[in-house]
Amino acid sequence: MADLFDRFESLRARRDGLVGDGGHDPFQVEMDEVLSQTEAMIEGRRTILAGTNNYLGLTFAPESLKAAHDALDAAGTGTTGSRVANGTYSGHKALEHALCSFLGKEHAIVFSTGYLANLSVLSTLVGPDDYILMDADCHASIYDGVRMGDAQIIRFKHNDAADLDKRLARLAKKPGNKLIVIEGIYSMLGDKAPLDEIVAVKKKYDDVYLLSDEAHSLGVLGRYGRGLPEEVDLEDDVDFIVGTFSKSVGTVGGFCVSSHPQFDLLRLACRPYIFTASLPPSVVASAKTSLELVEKGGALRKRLMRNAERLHSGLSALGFTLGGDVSPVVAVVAPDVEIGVAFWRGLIDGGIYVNLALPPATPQNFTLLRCSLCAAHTTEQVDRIIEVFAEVADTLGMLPKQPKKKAALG
Amino acid sequence: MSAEPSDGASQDVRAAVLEVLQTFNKTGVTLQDGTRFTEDLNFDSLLVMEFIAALEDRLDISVPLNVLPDIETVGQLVVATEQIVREEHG
Ligand SMILES: Cc1ncc(COP(=O)(O)O)c(C=O)c1O
Repeated sequence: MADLFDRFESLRARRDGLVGDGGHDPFQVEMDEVLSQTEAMIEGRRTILAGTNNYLGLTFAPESLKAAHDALDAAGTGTTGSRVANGTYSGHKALEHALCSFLGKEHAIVFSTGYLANLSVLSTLVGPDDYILMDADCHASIYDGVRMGDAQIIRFKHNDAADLDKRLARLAKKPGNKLIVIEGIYSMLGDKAPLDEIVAVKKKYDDVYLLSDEAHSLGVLGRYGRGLPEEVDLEDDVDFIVGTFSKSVGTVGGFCVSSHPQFDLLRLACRPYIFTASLPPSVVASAKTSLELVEKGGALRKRLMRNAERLHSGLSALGFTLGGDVSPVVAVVAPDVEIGVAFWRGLIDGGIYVNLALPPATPQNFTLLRCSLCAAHTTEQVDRIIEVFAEVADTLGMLPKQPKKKAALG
Repeated sequence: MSAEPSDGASQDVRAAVLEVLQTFNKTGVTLQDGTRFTEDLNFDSLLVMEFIAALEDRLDISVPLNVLPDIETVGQLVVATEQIVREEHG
């Protein structure tokens, strides 16, 4: 008789081929103790965390900790239900107001995660007669969201406004709304969307809306941390902004903001809003407080970018191939999956935790050692990351003979 | 989606589909209307995406992701592609 789990055979085979030798499994890392925003104990070793999305280091911000503690004591450990069925707490409304004033939009809805925000909005905003035009490198939550809905799903080439233009031109005769979906900073390579070009294309056609997922750019880009639209001064041209509290904001939760007058109707339409529990009071309180710190976080952003530049130029000078320009995500391209896994293990043995990212979750089928930086990383920590990268490359015999010359890890 | 061969359809579209598909055919199987993407050509989701992108480039069309789950064979893809070409360029 066939076993229920036989259908996962190819997954099992792939996993066993990669990590079945008893070595560290990059996808089952256990942090025995979190010491700070930038350090944890992993396998008894003090390890530098260079694979979080804790860009501003707000997970231990004293103000946010205090707000969370107070809310916990005042309103309890959880809401035990959904906003629609079981009620909204005052904290939820206060957080939504804070998002509106921070991002300069009329309406905001908070969801239980960023993933659920994308599922919610993308599955309901557009219907069977409408079109989604999404960047091919969009996050899994965007793919899942559009698949849950009924709109026609069209992908355009990553960051290619001309390709988007071509596809919109072919749809111009067709009735129906068109929703363009992009990200501010793409999570794997850390590259930014060409928002000015995309907005210019959008304006050429009727009935076209633009949604940007600012998951990785909120708190990171813009003078006040409002993301890519603020940085390039196009905030009014982005109709919907999706974001998460799980990265720069340092807790968990997601949101969507918009100035569309009917935006609140989504509360009655989005199943991942109606049929899941709302965020607990402590999380809501820390998110609200951390948002204020994000807005005031100019100094943190400077430190974050300084760290990013240091790591980027250090690794680049060693001869590593990097996936993108300077950004808080620094992705080192490994020549293949096997070397990627060996390299990742060398780093973890050397006390550095980064993310291993494998196809098909990566653009261009890259195998990536994805590093992400934190404003709280010290210069010494960044230098140590570079040093261990050099050591591991040396052990594996892969540093190019000529430093400074860009080459793959091989 | 019908699995019928596309009698009245333009030979150009069929030829283009087969030409692009051949560059993704790692199995050496002869491509026919009944050739199945998963079983005969060993396509996984990643390869499907790459192939569709190449087909879109070749014919200057957009293939909505929605049509993909219903397409199992080369013949079905030819029919679907012909329809898209008619709609977008016709
Ligand atoms: C672009 C993007 N959107 C959405 C999400 C989901 O956010 P969350 O972790 O809040 O579910 C992530 C990260 O996981 C992301 O990278």
